[in-house]
Amino acid sequence: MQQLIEILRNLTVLYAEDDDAIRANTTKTLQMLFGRVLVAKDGMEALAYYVEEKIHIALLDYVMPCVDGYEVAREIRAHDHHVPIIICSGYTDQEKLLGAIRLGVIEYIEKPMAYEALIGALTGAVQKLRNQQLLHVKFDSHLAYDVANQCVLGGANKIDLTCQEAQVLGVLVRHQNHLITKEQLQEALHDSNLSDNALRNIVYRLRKKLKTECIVTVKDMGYFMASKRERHGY
Amino acid sequence: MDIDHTLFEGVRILYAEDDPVTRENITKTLRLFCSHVFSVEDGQAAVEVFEKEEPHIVILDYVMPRMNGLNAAKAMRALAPEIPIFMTSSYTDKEKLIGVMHLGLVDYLEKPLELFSLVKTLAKCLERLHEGLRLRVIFPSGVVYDGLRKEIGIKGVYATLTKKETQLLDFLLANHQRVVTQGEIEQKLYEGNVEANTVRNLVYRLRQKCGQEAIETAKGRGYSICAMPC
Repeated sequence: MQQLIEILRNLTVLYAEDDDAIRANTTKTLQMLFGRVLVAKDGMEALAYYVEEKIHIALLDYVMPCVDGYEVAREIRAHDHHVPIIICSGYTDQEKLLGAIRLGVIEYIEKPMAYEALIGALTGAVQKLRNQQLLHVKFDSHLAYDVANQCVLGGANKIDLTCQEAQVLGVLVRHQNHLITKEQLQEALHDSNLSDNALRNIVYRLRKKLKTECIVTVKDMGYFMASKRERHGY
Repeated sequence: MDIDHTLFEGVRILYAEDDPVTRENITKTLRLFCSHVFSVEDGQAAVEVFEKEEPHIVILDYVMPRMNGLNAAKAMRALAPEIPIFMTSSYTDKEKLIGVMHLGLVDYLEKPLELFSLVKTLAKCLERLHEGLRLRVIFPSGVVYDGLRKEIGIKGVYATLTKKETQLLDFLLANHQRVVTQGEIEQKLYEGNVEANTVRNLVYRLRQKCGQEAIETAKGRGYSICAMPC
């Protein structure tokens, strides 16, 4: 359980739900669990997120206006056979359930969604990601961050990181091509007194260990992970 | 409907169904295009045959005595997370359908089975096997391996692999998404009784046939395969 929480903190979830109250509620829960939550209020928004962002897990309401959860799941499956999809719905008719099975949905949760059911589904999702070796987030042509083991895989080699290095890298990798401020990194390291120098040192060691130039310094602002987006690779 | 018989050449199908009439009919149908069909009458027998014969595709009836299709599928998933499984049943109630969701079935077919949906689903299974590197694959060197015929070759010239080489190659391909440890290989191929350099020598010989890049060494961790479906 502890480990599940640790892993989810490094992952991005796409969540789509058209009911405002349910969405607000579940979003709060997801934000406590995941490193990043992409919230969509309908299927169109969800698809837009899917095109733009690298997601690890999708949690979709079935019935939504215009583009429903089934259509979103189908579109995701057309590009990616492995990303775990969880459906939640108030409807459990045979047609919907059979459709979900054919799309390889890993769990179909009945609404109202109980917290335990959500955690159970997420546990299954992480297990699946682990089996598929998808708990890796690629950030350079030859480097991937192994979320489960908090290390970096470079080709056949494993590069061990210290706890602080792993946390800094985790944040940068999760928000690739987004500027991360020093304050955000301090927060991630749970150390608001961390000096600029100490932070600089951590980044310096990371660059040296990883032999990569993709961690970019923005003077007086922070850092970001510059990476070409590879949509369907991992 | 035309069925390309060569598609299923070498494919092993495991089929479990407790009703003797249905079992016989469907088995006959399956044998029309697949010569290796194992038919069993309950889930427990299915799991036993599964372990012994390592089939490529599994078809399970949901409701069966001794062990039902759900529990049989669970047991198989634990051994082979990626194998294509589909279920057949007269029951499509909410509990059953939600309960099988996590198994990642290829499909859930309502009985009585229609030939068209059966064949379509088998074709989907083949697609999954193809993508999962269990059929024909090509290595970076251009060498092609046929996982069903156990043949290896380049530009139509075929070579032979020894039994152990084939076993290792199949094992690496079945676990292509991850690094396979030396210990796992020793257990799988030799039941643990092996001298220190055996696996390394086997890998060396296999690399000579498949090309150096086909098998990557993950230093201190094990080996992983590098191949594409073709």
